[in-house]
Amino acid sequence: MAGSTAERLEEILTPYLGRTVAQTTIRMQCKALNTTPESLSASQLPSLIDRLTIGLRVFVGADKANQIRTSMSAIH
Amino acid sequence: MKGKFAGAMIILFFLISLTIYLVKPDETTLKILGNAAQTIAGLLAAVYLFRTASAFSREDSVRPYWLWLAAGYVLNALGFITYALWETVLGLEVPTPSLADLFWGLSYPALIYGSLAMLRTYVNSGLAVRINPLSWVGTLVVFLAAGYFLMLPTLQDTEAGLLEKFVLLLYPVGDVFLFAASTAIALMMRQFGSGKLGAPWTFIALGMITVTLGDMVYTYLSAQDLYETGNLVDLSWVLQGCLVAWGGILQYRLVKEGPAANSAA
Repeated sequence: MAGSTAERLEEILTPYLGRTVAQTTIRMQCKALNTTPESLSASQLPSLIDRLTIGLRVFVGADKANQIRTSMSAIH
Repeated sequence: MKGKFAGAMIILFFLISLTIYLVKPDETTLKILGNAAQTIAGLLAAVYLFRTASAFSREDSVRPYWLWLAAGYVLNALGFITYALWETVLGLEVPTPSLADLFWGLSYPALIYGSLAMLRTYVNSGLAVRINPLSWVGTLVVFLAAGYFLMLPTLQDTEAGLLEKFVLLLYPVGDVFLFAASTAIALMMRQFGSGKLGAPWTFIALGMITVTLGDMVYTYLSAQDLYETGNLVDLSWVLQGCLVAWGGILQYRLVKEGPAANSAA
């Protein structure tokens, strides 16, 4: 279940970041939270989504980034 | 739909400009049409970059950088307008330095700052993108070429005054910095692969790379007395405006509509 959470995040991010950057970014941000995509817990998900949203914001702006955040938050 | 129409108009505008340069009408007509095409291209870039900046909210850290880029293209267009008026309305040979050089010279800090600030923000975004070392290799090659073919001859020129030398050196130096920033961004955007975040900046950076290389060829041809208005190198200024404007349209649509909009384009 935890692994599939990361995969569903990846599905949401891939149209924007491409598959490789989406995977690497999730892995990198998980590492910053002292976890891995495979062992990501439900309590760590909001922090991960925050980090991903900050990154997206510089490319697509706050409004669009918040829309993507909403999609990511709907995962769990 | 609006984006598609604007894109089609930009392509049409470039094809008309290309035709003008290939047909090569008489010198006066060529000067008028060529200068008009370069001015319109610069204004297109400025308008679409301002529009992109307006799509970001005031809280977005990159908004000022988009404004800096837009301001750079406004100054660029002012340079072309001044040059065109001087050459076509006054019918005079444009001296070096001229008021046009002042506008073009001022456009460099705006464009370089905007690009470098954007690059720094992207690197620190937390997304897994990085600067490709190949961009520094490319910059080194361009720097060496510019140094040998453009800067060194200018420095060794015994006839040019100090101010003229300064202006003639400003272009290659500014172009090397702009090339460095735009190449780094272009290669960074390639890391997104099929992801839509990379598309806008790919076009904008390609536009900047086009103009830096075009500027250098122009400066070299001028120094060798091989340049005259209507040379195909003039098209690089038109092409850059079109590429930057198209990149601006894509970025605007990405901010407003998301990746689906750019997929449809």
